[in-house]
Amino acid sequence: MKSTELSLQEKLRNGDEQAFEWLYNEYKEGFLSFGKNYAFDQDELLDIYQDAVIALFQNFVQKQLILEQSTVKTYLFGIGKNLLNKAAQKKGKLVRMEGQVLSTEAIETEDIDTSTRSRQLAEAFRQLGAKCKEVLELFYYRGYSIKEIVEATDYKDENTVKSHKSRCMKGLREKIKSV
Amino acid sequence: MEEDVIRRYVTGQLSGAELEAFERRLATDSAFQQEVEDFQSIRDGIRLSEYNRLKGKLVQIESQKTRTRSFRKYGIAASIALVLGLAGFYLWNQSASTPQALYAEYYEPYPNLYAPITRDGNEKNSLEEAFAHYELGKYQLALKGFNQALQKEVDHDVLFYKAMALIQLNRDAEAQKVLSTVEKNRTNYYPQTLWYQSLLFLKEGNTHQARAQLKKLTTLKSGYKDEQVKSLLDELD
Repeated sequence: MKSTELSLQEKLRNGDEQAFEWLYNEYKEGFLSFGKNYAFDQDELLDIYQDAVIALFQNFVQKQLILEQSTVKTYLFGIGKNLLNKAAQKKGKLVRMEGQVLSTEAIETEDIDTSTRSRQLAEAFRQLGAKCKEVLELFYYRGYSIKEIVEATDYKDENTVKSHKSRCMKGLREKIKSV
Repeated sequence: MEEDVIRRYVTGQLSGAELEAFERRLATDSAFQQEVEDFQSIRDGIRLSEYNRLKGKLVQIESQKTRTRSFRKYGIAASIALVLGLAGFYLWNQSASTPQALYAEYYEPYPNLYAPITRDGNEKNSLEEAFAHYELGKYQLALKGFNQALQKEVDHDVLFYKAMALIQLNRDAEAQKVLSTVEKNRTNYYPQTLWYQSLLFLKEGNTHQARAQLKKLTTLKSGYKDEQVKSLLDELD
């Protein structure tokens, strides 16, 4: 596997948003022409492409993905194909297959949870200060241990992280009530 | 620590005997089960919040591209307009503390926290659809849906969102009327109602009423927009 591919994967695992933007721009045209087989307009395709790039990025960050058998690009198109299929099903639109046959395999990816509870949490989280966002994101979203959080940030020790984290959780729960 | 083993379970870092013990406990201990669900829902909430942020970023990248493109296209005309625009912005900035400017500074559309948008749900009811429109910024369609739903059944939470859609459509007077109905009924959205009423009063230039609604909001101690309410009151005094 090429070293650029490996370093791209590494950056994505680390949540590097420059890599995220690079990826978005790099495969946009390719995906939009790939999606021409579906009866979507340009805006709809772009919307689906954006969701695919975000899902890929979040999977790398949350699952610490290492792709050995495929590249980031095939993984991205796989997710994209899955989202295209779902959206087509929902709209009852048929797939136009007169063009090239889509050889890419669709890759299942979990849906974003948009329950009321999740929305309230997301909105409350958005309103938190940067420090609280950081510690909660590292622990709950990225799954860092308290020890790993000390290593990755400038917290003094594990106890400081713990007490700060529980204060932030309290703040979050209070904000949920008021959003 | 309890929460740490939950973290390892949820992120797929448990295996072997540890995993088995965890799953046994999960099957029998309902309080523990609740804790695991809580962890998962916080994780989902942050994932959604991150999704929203990243989506915003990509949408912005696209709108910047369109802007640069049209800028090149219109060349000189655009630069003249820009100069005029900057002059206008400067003048506007000079009077930054007019009620209308405060409105512009503090107003942001209320997020949809009411109905979940199910991306794969087949049987969508019309209210769900209205909220989906609201979420996508299609306020005219959202309003139509809200009105239809309200004809069948008066739901004050839906009324609140109807007012939010009206504000987005610049139908302020109607929005005020709806909000005052919602206010009287003290719904879940009572603090939010007071906040948006206050902003609409500001937009009209009625600082007296704007302040009155903010004061009511302060005495509620709901925590909603705490800091903004304080700083807006400061600016009005």
